[in-house]
Amino acid sequence: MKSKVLSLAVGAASLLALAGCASGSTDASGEFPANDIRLTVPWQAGGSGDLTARTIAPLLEDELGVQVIVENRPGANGSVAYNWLKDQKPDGYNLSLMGVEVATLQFQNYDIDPANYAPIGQGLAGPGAIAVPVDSPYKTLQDLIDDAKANPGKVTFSSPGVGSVWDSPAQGFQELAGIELTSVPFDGSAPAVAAAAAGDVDFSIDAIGTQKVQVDGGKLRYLAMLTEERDANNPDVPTAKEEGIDLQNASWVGIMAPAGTPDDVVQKLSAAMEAAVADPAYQKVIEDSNLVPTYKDSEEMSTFIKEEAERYGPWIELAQGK
Amino acid sequence: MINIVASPVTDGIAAVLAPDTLIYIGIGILIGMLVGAFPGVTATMAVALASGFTLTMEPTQGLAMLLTIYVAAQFGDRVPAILINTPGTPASISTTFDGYPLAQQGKAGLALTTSAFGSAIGMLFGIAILAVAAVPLSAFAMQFGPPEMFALVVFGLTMMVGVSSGRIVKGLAAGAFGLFLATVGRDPITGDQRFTLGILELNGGIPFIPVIIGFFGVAEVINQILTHRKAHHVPPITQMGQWMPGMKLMRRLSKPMGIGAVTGSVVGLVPAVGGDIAGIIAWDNAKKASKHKHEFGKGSLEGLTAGDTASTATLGGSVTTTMALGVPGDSVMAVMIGSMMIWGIQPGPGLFSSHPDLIASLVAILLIATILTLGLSLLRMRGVVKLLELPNHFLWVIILIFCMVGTYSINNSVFDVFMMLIFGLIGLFMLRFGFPAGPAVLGLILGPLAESNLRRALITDGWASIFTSPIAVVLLLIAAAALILPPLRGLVKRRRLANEGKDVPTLMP
Repeated sequence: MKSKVLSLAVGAASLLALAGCASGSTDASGEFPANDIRLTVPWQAGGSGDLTARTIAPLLEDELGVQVIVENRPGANGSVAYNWLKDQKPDGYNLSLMGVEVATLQFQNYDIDPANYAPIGQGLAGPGAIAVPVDSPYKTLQDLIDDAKANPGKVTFSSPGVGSVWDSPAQGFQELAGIELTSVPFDGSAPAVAAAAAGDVDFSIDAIGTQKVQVDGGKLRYLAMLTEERDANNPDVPTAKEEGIDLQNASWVGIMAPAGTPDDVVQKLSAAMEAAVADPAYQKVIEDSNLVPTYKDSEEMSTFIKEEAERYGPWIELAQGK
Repeated sequence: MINIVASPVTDGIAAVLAPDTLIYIGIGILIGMLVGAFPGVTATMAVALASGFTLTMEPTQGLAMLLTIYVAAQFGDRVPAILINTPGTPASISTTFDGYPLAQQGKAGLALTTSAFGSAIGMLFGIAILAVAAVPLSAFAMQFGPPEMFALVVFGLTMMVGVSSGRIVKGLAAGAFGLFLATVGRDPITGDQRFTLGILELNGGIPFIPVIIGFFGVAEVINQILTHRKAHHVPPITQMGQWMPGMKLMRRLSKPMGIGAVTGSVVGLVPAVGGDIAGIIAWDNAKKASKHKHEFGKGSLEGLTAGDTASTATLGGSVTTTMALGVPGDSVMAVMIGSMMIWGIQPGPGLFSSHPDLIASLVAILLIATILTLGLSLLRMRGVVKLLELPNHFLWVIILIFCMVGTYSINNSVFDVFMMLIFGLIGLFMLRFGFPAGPAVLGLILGPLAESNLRRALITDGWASIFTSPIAVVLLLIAAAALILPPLRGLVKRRRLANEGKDVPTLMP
């Protein structure tokens, strides 16, 4: 008897709680956003990803009319933040920046599944290039390929780390050209590009903007761009595609929410992000960091992340197979 | 009016002497000193957070603010290292070796002032190098590829013997433990998991700052809580003793300061190596050169100043490497590069020719910041040490809370706080059983650098890449000498003592 009363009470209480939740969420979706939004950065404070978040946050505030609070949760290649986001309530108040790792960490024994996230949009891209030391004997991409064919495994390149956004396309390059290269991984892009500038390795594969410092300083020379069209700032440098290697790659940064976030909330955030990315203040900061402001909406991002996973998966397996 | 000929140098200095720039320098000093004194909150973090709102400033003002925070933090972090055995930032690890023993002997006042003087002299030395030889020295830094870095780190690892304070076997055991901890995480070359035990956070390796806060701060507090009722407990630090070092003392300290300044400047030039390692290396160098070796680690003012001078002297070198190469000289500079690019200052080989006034501005900012910070440090010391007049049990709670909040704030991570507590307990064990913490910390910092650079060197050209590099060979020889010479010298000395008075033939003529 007593237990029946108890279970009834529990049932009533949980019904009430459910009703409370339901009414809460209808309120929220009715006039989203009603509260402050938390924008998590999966990287250390101060890097270019962090600056992106701190530049876009005030613009999102203007669009959405609520505070957007930037918070760093760095660690383990970004997976600490991604893992945290997965467990947050999918109500649009907890967002995170993302990079290509969202699609690729699953191939490196991380428990990160892109299906757990709802993309909001893309904010920028950093298209890549292959660059050699200024005094390198390679004048064209073909010179590099010929040398690698004659001396398999002797030609070295620096990358920001195994499985990273620049080590993987180098695997693709080997496949497409039918050559064998040796990867020398560093702790991030800056030391990797500097190593090529100092002549410690034969070439660098990284973002055009990251290599620009050393190119402008007369230490590196672009050999080929990993873009569809020639780079407007470097019209004399051919694309890899022109040289017979149909390889394109760019690093990118976007924003995402946990999977299950209501569609209208995602759309609202997407629209706010589109306006922020188009803002001249945002464009200036991103261009000054040698990156390209780029917007893709939620749906385009979903497809894009799937395609990235399909592209990178085999490359990473190739790199690990060595 | 005297007509001053406009030149890049006067332009650069004039830009810094503008009133609004000076105000930003003042704000930077206050932020930096607070940040430095708070264990866990590093200069890197303060600069990263400040860069959020300096982006909209003029480049000179923004640079003034960020660099001043960096300078002032280097003074502030000595205070907790000396008073509560907890380095405010990693740059003051070596400060704890002698600073805390000095405070326990009732000489906290003297320790704080000499530490501030040493830090200022190191800073000035580093600035002088930046002003005179930025461009040629950056060419030297460019020579440091993976083989040279590996050799330098091996030399750094030989310091384990020096920082063992006489307990060589236990010191090396602690060092091996530190090296083991350094292997946790992802393999730097292949990306495979090592000892991560399925814990996501460990994929990034053992977090370094929580470990040093645990080893030094938490371990010491728990130890005091455990032992304060025993008869032979440490006397509370109530009296500050003498404040200003006399002329005689300053003359004696000029040698360790010189050693520190030179060591710090050289280490600072090498990319990615900062004040924490420089301080430890200089402390050990000064010990070898000192007439009072036995005092080191037990409260030597020489050891204190050598370490502090070296860790600030790295700043000039770090700025040089960063600006002239585009390679971050240390973690603070890595953060600053992002802001500089947005101001249109692109660090790299072309910078000093495209912005010739920049060196003058940088030197002026650093000089003003150093002198003002030294003045402020000397003024506010008396207030800071009042904290220690609190009864011990209040102080313990305050220190523990500071350590926890500081650690949490590094990455907004509760995991880091647990790591800090766990390493506090390990540190306590080490303290009670006589294992020095210095070698373990050295292993944890240098292990990953040694491993990844050795493997990079081996990938590119096998062992030949190391033995064909003159810099690497010389550094490795110095490292070998550092290991072999002291025991050999001890052996010769013992033989001579044993043979004294006996009529035996000796090798000596």
